[in-house]
Amino acid sequence: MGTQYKKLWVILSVFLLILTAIINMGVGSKWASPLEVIDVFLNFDENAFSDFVIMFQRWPRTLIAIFIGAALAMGGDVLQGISRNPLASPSLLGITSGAVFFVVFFGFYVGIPLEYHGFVALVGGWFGFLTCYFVAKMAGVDNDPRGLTLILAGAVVSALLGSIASALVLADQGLWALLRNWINGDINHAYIDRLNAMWWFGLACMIGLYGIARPLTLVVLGQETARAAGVHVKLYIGLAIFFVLGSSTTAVSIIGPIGFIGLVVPHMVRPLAGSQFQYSLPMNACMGGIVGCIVDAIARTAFLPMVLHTAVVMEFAGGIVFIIMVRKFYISKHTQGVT
Amino acid sequence: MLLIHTSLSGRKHIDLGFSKLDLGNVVAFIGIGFAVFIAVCISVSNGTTSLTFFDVVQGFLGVDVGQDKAFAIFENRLPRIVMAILAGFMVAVVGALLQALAQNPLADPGILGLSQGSILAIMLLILFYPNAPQIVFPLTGMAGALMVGAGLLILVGKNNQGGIAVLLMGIAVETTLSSVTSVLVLHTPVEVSYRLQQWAMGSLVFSSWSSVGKMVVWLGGCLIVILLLGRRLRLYDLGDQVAVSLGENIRMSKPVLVFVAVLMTAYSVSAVGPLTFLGILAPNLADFISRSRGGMRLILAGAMGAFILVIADFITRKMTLYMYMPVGMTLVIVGVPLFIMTLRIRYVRSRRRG
Repeated sequence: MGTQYKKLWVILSVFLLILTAIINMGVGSKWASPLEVIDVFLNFDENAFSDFVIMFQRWPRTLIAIFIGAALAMGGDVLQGISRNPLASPSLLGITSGAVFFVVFFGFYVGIPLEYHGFVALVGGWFGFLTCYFVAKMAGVDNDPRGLTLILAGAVVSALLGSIASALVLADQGLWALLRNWINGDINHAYIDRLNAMWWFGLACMIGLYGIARPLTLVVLGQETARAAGVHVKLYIGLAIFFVLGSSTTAVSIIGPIGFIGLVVPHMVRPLAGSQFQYSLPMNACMGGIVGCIVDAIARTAFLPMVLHTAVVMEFAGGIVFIIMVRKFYISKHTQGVT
Repeated sequence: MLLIHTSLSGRKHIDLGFSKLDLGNVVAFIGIGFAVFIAVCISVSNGTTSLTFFDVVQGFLGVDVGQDKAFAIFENRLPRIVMAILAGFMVAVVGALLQALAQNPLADPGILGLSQGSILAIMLLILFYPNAPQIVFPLTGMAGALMVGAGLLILVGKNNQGGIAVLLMGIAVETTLSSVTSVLVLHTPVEVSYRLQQWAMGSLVFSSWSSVGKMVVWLGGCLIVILLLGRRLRLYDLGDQVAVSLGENIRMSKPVLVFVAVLMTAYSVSAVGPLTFLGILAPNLADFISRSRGGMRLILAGAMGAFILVIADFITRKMTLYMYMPVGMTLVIVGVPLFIMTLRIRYVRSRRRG
């Protein structure tokens, strides 16, 4: 596919993102057409109930959905490229659960104030990621060309850290009341404070990731070629991992553990944008935002008047996609008995 | 001793006439059994009502120790601990059985999604026919686990049962099903949902003497079937093809064994909820202590499972003084490090072999 087409896809996905966001704000127990939504933004009337709902409930949710979707999808894309593992993503490599564990423990148990939660989550993300890497090494990931061991290690480490975090939350009645939604992963308009406090770091990391897109593409395509072209391979891999951890842990510290956007969206984008990061990253950001909005809309409307946890919807959809992907990448007649 | 012989390979075994037992295995079994006994004694004497070890012994011997102490021992703690022994035994045996059948040392009813399948089926039953007779619940759980098992076989295919791919597929299926379970929990009335949530995470809180009694019957029945087939399990250890060439009718015995495994999973789930990781941990730890084959492997794994669950239950009850924690969660927290060790041992062994 030519470069022209890829650019076209990127521009198209930006428009699609704006459209989805506007439609998402219209969806809910009281419907509003896209034109009405735009009207709310142009002439906001704080006495009208429907204006109030759109401005102070759905708009924050949409913003959060776009932010976390973009951060996690970009993170998944880069992780899958670097590790050459189609199942790599922030939630399957222990990053998400590490961040959750640290935010619960240091943020709420120890009582570090909100402004620093992003930093705490970042440290936790590194903790989870390194633990997962260490366990995978111990279990012999080097002798496993398809990287199943890495994913298994991630799943196990996530189960452990997630359980400890849940146990901590369950331990304290007050904490349970405060965090019962967050610990299950939920897009919620109340978390706009958290977005407000932490967005800048996540956004900076995403921009940083885009900034190193070109050399990173060379690195992923082949380390020898990259070296020949004068690219410092280790530096860029380190930088990429740092930015991925920064943006995805920011997302987690805002809404809690949420999986599968990082796993699924890159696979949706790759056939269109190819494996060059300068095109795939912006498109992943847009598609991640779109998927975030759609999941948010489903969570709010599937069981009206009840609102589901976003993570539950995500888990259901993501679990099915996971099944399909395990089947596609690891189970075929040619691969029998390799592991 | 007269009964002890040394075989050609240098291993000592006990000849009982009808069956030969490896001496190392017997010693290991006695050791684990003793450990279970100690764990039970410690567990019984700890709790909100303070008891001394002496009180417990007196209680067992029928000496009157006072009403509240007797209540704490016999009505509160013992049913729970006996249930822990039975359920631990059951889940561990299922794990060992699945591992022998699938030729995969990491198979586990929890990780493969079988437990979640029966949970989902039972929850649906509770939602739509809350007044169904008691006996229907384990049967429904069985149907759910069977469906997940069949689905998994279809998704993975015949040739991939031995690898890690089947585990990832199990985790994927488990994730999907558990999201449905969480939606269902949301839809039940508050007082039901709290109980459901507790049970869905694995809990021994609801144990009573009557549930223990039923468990004994099911476990006994299943064990008899398995031990009758125990000799065949040794053939399975050699791999399907060798088993067939030695005259084993795999098409007959394999479905029976899988069915028994699912039956046991479903019953243990309906009694205490899912106990993830126990099915992997117990057989692998038992193997670590003393390598065994066939029916003996199941028995050793079962004893180990009972030991782990009694300990996990004890930790859980201790923790409950400070915080609420389901035993399933304790198992994950205790189990994951052990599981990682298992992965490591497996890797080192495979590297040594070549």
